[in-house]
Amino acid sequence: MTKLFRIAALLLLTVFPAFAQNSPNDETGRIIALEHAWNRAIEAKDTKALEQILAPTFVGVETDGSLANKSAFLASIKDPSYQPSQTVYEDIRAEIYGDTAITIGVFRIRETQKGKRITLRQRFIDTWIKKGATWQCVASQVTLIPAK
Amino acid sequence: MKRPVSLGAILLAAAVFSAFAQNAATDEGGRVLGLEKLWNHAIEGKDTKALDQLLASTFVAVEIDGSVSSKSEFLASIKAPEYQPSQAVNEDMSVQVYGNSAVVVGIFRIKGVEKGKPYVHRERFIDTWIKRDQGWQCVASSATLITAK
Repeated sequence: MTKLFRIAALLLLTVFPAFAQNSPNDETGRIIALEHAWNRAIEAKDTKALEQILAPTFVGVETDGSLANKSAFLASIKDPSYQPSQTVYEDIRAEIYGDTAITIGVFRIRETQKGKRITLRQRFIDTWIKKGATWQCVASQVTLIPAK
Repeated sequence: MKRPVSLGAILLAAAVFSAFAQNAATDEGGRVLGLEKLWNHAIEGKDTKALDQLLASTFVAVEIDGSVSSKSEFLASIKAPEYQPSQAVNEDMSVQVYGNSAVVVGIFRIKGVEKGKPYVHRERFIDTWIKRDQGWQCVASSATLITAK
């Protein structure tokens, strides 16, 4: 393959990702990248980015069992009283089922409560649906992992 | 000779097709909700054979303490003699169908005795189902204890 053709092919795949025959590994990488983008968007209170990541039918279950739809979730992030904490993934894996993907993992959150620095660990499961070439999260649930 | 198709006939056909497509999605949603009820009956009856059919081989469950179980671990926990559920019901459920997958959100209330202690839990759950040749199977289930008032 000539260098020019290789560049053209790369450009085509970048512009039209649907042309690519994506292997499950590519899709897994994409989903995990979206999970990281989600975290960055929360840290930056970037609801425009979150708007793209979450499907209109999105539902989220918080650690107290309460339920939020997409607009309630975005409003909670936008709320001036919401101070995002530092969140890192300890563990994350994805399982692809055609146009559906499940991610499961643990994130560690460092925050200050009543002047004390604490670390929380939460287990999450997210369900992603692919429409065209785009993945969006349709459901997310977090469960607190009790400290030992 | 073919009869010309009137605009009315086209609109009627479109309406029938649309209703059919909507019913198909509703039917699939109803099917999945039916499977959720079967799941509860299987838990009450400790019927791991029925659960084996409902859960995909790659099934993962997140329990209310944040622990993760594979299918075999989940089935073993149901089979365990110390696990004695008396009533498992869903208080509230809604389903969203996305082609060959479906997401069910609801509240699960379970009464039982574990290690000699009676308990009643209300848990918010999300289950993800995938439709395969053999029918719908659950691939992921997570539960969070409801503490919010």
